[in-house]
Amino acid sequence: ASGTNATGETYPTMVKWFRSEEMEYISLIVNQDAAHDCLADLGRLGVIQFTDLNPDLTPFQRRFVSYVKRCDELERKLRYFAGECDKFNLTLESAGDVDTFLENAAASGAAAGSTKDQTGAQLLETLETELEGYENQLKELNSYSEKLTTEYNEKVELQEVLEKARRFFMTDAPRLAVSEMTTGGPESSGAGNDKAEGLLGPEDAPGAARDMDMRFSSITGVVATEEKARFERMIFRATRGNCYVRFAPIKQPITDPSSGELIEKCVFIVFYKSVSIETKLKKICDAFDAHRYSLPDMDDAPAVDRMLTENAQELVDSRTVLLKNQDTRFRLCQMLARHTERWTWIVVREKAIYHSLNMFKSDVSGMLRGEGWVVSDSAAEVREAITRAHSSMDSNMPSHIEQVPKPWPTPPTHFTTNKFTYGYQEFVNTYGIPRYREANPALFTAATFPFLFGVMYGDIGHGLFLFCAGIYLLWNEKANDKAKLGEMAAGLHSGRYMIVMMGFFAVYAGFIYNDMFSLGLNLFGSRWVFDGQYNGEVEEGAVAVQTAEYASAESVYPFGLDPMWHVTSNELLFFNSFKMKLSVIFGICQMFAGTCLKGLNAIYFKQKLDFLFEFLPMVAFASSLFVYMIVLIFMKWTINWNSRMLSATCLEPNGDGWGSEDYKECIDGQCGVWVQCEGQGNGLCTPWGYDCTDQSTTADKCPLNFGGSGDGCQPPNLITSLINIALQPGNVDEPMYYGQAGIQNILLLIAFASVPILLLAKPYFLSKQHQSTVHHHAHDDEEHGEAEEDDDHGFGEIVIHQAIETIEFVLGMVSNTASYLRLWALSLAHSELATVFWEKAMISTLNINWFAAFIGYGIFAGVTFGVLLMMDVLECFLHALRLHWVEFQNKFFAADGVRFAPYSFKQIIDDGSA
Amino acid sequence: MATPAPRAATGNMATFNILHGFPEALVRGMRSSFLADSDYHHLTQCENLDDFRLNLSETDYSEGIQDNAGLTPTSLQSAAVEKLVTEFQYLRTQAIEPLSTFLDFITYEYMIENVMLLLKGSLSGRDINELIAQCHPLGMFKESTMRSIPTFESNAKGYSDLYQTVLVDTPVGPYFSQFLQESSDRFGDSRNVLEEVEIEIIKSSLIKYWIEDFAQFVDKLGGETKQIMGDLLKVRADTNAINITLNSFGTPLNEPAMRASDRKRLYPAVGHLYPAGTSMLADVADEDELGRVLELFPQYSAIWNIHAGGSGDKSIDDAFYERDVQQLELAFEGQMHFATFYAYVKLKEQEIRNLVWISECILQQQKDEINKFVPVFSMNAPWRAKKTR
Repeated sequence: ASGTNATGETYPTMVKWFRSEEMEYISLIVNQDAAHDCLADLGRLGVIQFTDLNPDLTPFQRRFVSYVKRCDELERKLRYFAGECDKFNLTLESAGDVDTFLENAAASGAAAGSTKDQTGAQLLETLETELEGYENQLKELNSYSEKLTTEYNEKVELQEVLEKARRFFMTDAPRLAVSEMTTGGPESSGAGNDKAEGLLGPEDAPGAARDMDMRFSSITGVVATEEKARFERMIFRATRGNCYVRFAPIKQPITDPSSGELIEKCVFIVFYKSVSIETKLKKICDAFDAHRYSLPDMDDAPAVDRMLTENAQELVDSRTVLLKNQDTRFRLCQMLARHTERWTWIVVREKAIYHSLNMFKSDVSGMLRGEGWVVSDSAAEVREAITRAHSSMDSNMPSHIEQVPKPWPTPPTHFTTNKFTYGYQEFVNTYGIPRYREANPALFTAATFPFLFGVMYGDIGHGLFLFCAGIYLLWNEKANDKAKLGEMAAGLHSGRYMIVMMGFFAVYAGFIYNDMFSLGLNLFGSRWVFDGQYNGEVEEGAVAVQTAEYASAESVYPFGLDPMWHVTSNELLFFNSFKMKLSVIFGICQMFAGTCLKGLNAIYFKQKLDFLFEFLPMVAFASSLFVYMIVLIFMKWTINWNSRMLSATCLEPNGDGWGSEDYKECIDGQCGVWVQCEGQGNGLCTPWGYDCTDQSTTADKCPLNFGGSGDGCQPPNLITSLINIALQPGNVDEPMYYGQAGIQNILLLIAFASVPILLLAKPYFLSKQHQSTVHHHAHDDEEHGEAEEDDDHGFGEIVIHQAIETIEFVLGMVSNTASYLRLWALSLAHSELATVFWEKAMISTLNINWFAAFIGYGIFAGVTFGVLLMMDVLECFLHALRLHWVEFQNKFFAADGVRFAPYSFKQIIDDGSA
Repeated sequence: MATPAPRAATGNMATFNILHGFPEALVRGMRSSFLADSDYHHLTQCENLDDFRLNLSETDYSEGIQDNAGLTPTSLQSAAVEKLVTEFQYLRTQAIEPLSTFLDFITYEYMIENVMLLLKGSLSGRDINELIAQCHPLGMFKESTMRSIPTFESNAKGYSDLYQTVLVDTPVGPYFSQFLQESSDRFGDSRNVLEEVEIEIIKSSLIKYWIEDFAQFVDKLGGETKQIMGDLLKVRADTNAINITLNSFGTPLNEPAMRASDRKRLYPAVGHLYPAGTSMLADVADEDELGRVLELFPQYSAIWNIHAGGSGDKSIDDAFYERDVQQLELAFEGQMHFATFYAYVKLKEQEIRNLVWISECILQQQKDEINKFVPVFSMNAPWRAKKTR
């Protein structure tokens, strides 16, 4: 099979998707100097997965570890840049499309290739010096900014302190002094107590007593508002209340120099009387990081004013310098924000190259040898890329690429997907990566998954919403591709085609069920009419009659089910019967297809035993019981039971019903001919001329001769008939065709016979094969006793494995068929929920008044959205998923493959930025 | 457990997970972040600290050190401790009573250590910023509190001021007041002990009060927590008692007068040694006598023999560490009790000690010393290795 591909034959996409890409295990020997360029080209192609040839070496023992370290260092710098840019609220500019970036890099590399020899190392070096420069510049500016901010803050704080203090001394202090003079002696030792009283005391007439406030010393400064309460408490404790503290908030928050955060601060002023308290206060101020500012003599108003103006002038100056610094920093960061992402990509790319080179081994000096998996189709490209890289080194250095001689390790599985197939492939991969070259269930899932979803969700209205949601996602495809989406949105984006398909099939199934928000659509005109329907006089329990003759072309509703079913009393019975049968038919078809895929795999991998003793018995078992069931279902649908039952009905000759067009049975080549009987019985006749007696059974009256009590003239209960195949072999109570009992016995025998074959044949032949090989070796192998023990062990395992497989298949066919009934169950749940919402929320409120209808519509819309458009979509999705993962895939899917993880820059950059 | 505690949700299989299941699940998840034997092996093979850093980048520490260009043992330690603290704070935010109080109790030890570090540092006149940088982040107060601690004089008056102004607001305040109360009961304000020793005595007393308080709290919790954490604390108390005795030799504390009055008061009033063992320890005058006392307690005689054997290979600290790790591992593996959290913090601390040790050895090119650490959850640990053999 590997030969077909080497000829360069191109398969259609579908076929390529059916089996994973062919892989080749190649070894490439490249010159050490050209290695970097080679890998740069290979990384752009992204079709090779290198094997680590030095698994025993720790990271730091490897060859190119110094380069990796340098890349790490560059990454650290870039992270620093990003952090700094973030401080200015600058978003890093996108470096554009990854593909164009890589192409540009290639182009420039190729152009530069002729001028400079070591693009890789040189690139790193230039980048290093460049980034180093920027980092130093930025760090310098930052430290400068810190210094300037500190200076500026000092000025601002001093300004505030002066202003606040002046106001305090002008308004509060005189009052304080006066109250103190009135309450206590000026030299009293308990100044603190007095003052406290003074504060509480009445505020008397203002007036200045100069000598009073001079006795108190004061400390002024600035402390963070957050610390205010603790600061005050601490002062109170340390001085035992012997001081007086006032605070005034600073309106503008002050920037913290080191972290750049804005901090609310307030000015404080503390009055105290003794030196020991002063030292304590100073210590507390230090502990709270509160800047102290010494005040000039507050009585000297001109001095204060002068200081204020001077400081204001300095403040303006320092502000200008600070702003200038900030501007320079901002512009540098702006420049960095423009380039950082591109640099990051370059560094990530270089790092990936050296990581891959670390997997190479150097057997011969100057040469590096790597091994890896290549997609066969791209092997030529790889060769070309490597020769190109070597030839541009303008010296004839050798490079070898060759297939490693077999046996190869297990090849990885790779599928080339497009945006449509990607979602479905991921769907299957989530369950398990397909084995190399085995049949890929994703190909079938792409069609059956949305279809089965539709069967469950079938509703024109709801389906249309889903379809539109999918179309909306497709409409925004390009924008979403580039945007960085959240987890949820990204999931929806990658499943956009699936959602469109699911919506489409839900609408389709809705048309088949003729169900739109639980109502039928009378698109083509119903083929049934109630008595008095057009006069609006339909009575409870009225019977609908067909407008055209039964089974004629006109009597069939052109597409889907007749809307009249929605208003009949046996609506549920009819829909349930229809949907259940449909579910079973789809289920068995899908499982049978799965079983056939097993056969295809056996043929493809040339596993004769699997094909003969697993696949064939499975097919025999499945078709004899389950496919037969489908046959019976279709047979029951196609038989004209109206006519058959009429043929076994006793009628009065020339009575009302005699000669009806409904009778179509053919006897002796004549169809629908009414024969009058001889009248020997009770006077009644069957249409074919049998004399009815009071004792005659259906079998007697039936013109057919199929056996059983129905004799072919009575519609069978399919479930009973099917159960009786196994329970009462040879006995069919209500047959549908001649010889049904015999055929069913043969089928049952086939089914029974296939089980032991499935169970025993493969282990038997395996052991036989094994013995013959062991006998060959037995002569020259002395230690074969031990080996045999191992073989026995292996044989036991094979038998157990086969037994499990058999049981799983036989029991699984039954239980999985039942499992497919979820198609019916969910569809039923969906339509019933829709009915309930419609009737309870809309119909009942429509009859009350406009306001109730307004509210009712709100409820209807809300519940429909929440339950049916959200929850039910999820539920049907999950059940469809389960049907594929369990019921379909367990028939053939090995799912033990290894995912192909190519060395690809695009992948690495995408992963990095995600 | 004869009498279940009224809110017996803390060591009870049926109800533990209602309140504390999530934090326990978190801490159990952190089990995988411990360095494995192979990690230690790789680390010990390193030639320089750059390699060391590269190797660590394969472990859970990668994020902490990735922006740490020139790795030194100190910066490594602070990064590792920072990581531990982040994890601990996360656990703390997820915890509710009584687990939150339990977690707070763990931090009190570090607070005491920080306070003592600051006091001691200010005695020797070291810079306050340098001291704060050395403090353990788990026991941090507000910066202003930290800064005001060293501003008090180091005498009885200063300490009582310190308590009344600053420490009264902190969780460790009660221990301090207990200490002040007791010391003033004994000899008033006049007594002047050597300052360095005084600091050690204060520290030992505070730790003693902490252990007793903690033990009482754990006792109140009941259930498995009482059993397992109680045992951990008992052993901790015994270790302290032994260490105090051992370290007192050759200091004024060992003078006959002070043995009974001061040293005996430092022994925690919990533990396997209490009260019979501690009263014997109180009379011990030298190492031989200490050895004879410990001979009576089988669980400590083995550790003492390592010390007394004097092979120089292992100090008594190493022996204690090894025993601790074994016990903490068991406590960590247990379920439905709070000791898991304590064990996690302590085991991580051990791991950080190991990392620092290895990095120091690499830095100083002491290759033959490099394997003298106590790995955590190691398959080669003596108590595991014995079993497999």
